[in-house]
Amino acid sequence: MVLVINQVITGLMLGIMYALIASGFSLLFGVLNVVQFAHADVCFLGAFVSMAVMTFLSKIEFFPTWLVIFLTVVSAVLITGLIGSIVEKICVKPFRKSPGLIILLSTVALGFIIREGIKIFYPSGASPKLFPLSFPQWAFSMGGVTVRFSNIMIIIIAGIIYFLLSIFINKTKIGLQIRATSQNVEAAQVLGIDLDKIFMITFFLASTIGAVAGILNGIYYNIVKFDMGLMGGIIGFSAAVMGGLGNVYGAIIGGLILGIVESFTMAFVPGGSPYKEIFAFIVVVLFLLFKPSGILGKKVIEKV
Amino acid sequence: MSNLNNGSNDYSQTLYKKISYFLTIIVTEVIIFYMFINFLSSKGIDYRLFLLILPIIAFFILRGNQKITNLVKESYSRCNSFSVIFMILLLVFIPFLFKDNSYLLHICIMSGLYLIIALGLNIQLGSTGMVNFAFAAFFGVGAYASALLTINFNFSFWLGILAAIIISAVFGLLIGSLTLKSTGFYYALVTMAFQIIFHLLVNNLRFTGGSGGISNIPFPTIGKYSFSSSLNILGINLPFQANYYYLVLAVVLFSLYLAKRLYNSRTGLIWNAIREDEIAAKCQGININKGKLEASAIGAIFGGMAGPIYAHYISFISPESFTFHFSVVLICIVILGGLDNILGVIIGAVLLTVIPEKIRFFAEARMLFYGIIIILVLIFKPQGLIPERIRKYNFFKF
Repeated sequence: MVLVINQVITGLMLGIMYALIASGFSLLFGVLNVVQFAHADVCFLGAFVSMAVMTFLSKIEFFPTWLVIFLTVVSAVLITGLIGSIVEKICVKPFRKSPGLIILLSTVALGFIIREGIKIFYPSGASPKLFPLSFPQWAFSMGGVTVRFSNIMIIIIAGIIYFLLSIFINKTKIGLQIRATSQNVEAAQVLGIDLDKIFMITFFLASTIGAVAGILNGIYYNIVKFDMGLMGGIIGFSAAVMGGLGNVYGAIIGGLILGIVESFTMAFVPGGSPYKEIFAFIVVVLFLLFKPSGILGKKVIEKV
Repeated sequence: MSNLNNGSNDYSQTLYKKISYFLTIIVTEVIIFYMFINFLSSKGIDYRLFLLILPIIAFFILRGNQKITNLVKESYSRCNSFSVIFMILLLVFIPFLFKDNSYLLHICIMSGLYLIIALGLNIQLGSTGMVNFAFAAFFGVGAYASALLTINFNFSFWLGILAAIIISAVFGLLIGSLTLKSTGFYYALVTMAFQIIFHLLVNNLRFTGGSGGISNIPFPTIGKYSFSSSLNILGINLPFQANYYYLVLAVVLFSLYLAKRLYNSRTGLIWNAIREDEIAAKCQGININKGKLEASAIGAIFGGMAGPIYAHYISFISPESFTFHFSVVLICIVILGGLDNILGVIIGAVLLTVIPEKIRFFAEARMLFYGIIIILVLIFKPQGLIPERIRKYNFFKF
């Protein structure tokens, strides 16, 4: 039982990262009806941006440490958001009129460009990097169940992000416009909503959430690699599909399920740790076979 | 039409026309072949690259000239079989030109293999509109099947290739039947999942050799003649790659023939109908599930043909050859050349295998280069280098 609870905690941590990435996928799909496959690459680019900013700021030796960390996180998140909106300009805007699969292809290609770009142009980008930030190490243990400070912090941060996101989507005027666009693009346009602006804001929003996921991932696992975006992208995409593409809350559930499946595979299947993704993908394929619309997704009836 | 009643004049005119067609074909194909050879044998940036530019400039100048473009078009459509035979003759000649440089021959072999696989992907991505990200897995299934069968069960290469084709067809059917319900993004996602699953399984299972792969895969033999010995034709010693070159050339021609027949068949038409609109196709009485399964299985067969040749030629395979990256490279080939267009796939495969080998920077940043190509092609030339042609039917020709 203790082992199960510990594994659930490990799975939750993994699941929260997946959920944050998957929410971005779902947000973008909801508004644009396309899959931005390079989203996870943008997210992990956030981790690399924060590393670059951190080295830059600590070279100046002007700010106190706490301010350096604060500035690093804020500027990395904002820069990644900007990169997200640039991605929209390059890879999505030219294809707005073409079938959605074209955007999938162009963003898959963009993912390769980002990954290889990091590998080639970041200083010694091909090797795994130690992430400079970390949470305090203390932990408490209760009847064998170990809870670390980082676990609590990640849950709190994710909670805050989802709280802010839901306020932004449900209470603000731009959130209303985003919801309107995701319901019906033509009607939104008729009502005078500036689509370009909405798309840009949605990309910015999704990328900032993703950047937080990338940075949290770096902090929690202490290591960043240039090619993490590929697997992260496929798993984030899967989690979004499992929850129902277009539904942000579904994406959370999907991400948590995948995270827990992976951690349980590592713990309870003998020699299972290399196969953890396989089990996750088998769950995804089964979902697509038996419930293609996802957990919270609406059933799409194809009309002629 | 004054020459209707003038038989001999008519005859000489057709003869004259025929000769002009033949000459145009010979001249254009020799120019293309010469460019290709020059480009292959150039080292870095040298004068041979500048020779390449001349025909390209000539092409752009002459493209405006209606008379010449018409002549070229007409000669290729009238004397189609002659143009094919002449090109084959030129291709057969390649090992003699490269007999001192087996590396160039190696590039030719690899582009042939890429072409075979890309033809299979073209059936799914181009004809049926299924964005398959698992094509490297089809190729890998063929390669692993043949390698394991020849090593563990003493199959000969020829039996191995047959078994590999059957196994990859079954694999294709399996993936096809699991994805029948899912379309669009969902299909893409499932194929990505299969690609990753295949790579992880091959990388971790013991009987596939793990990440170390399988080495010492035996060379193919015909009777007592081994493919690892140098080929001797008319007293000219060719490097051992020439054996594989001719094998690949034969398989390429066979697959081109197969792809062409499939494109012109009713099945090809059904695939296009599914791509354009599934519901409309269903309303026409087309069995969509059958069409999709056929596309998956037949596409996989092409991968299964190329896999064993690759495995036995390199004589070493590892999971790193069958990654997601390779699937994206194949998609890049098909998109660059032009969807559902066999000539386009040929050009895409040759360009994308030869250019990264020739230009050093591209070899290091290969995937970056492929990514940029995909985006640029999608933005500026979404139809590919050679756009899909409207199907032609000779209704009045019996």
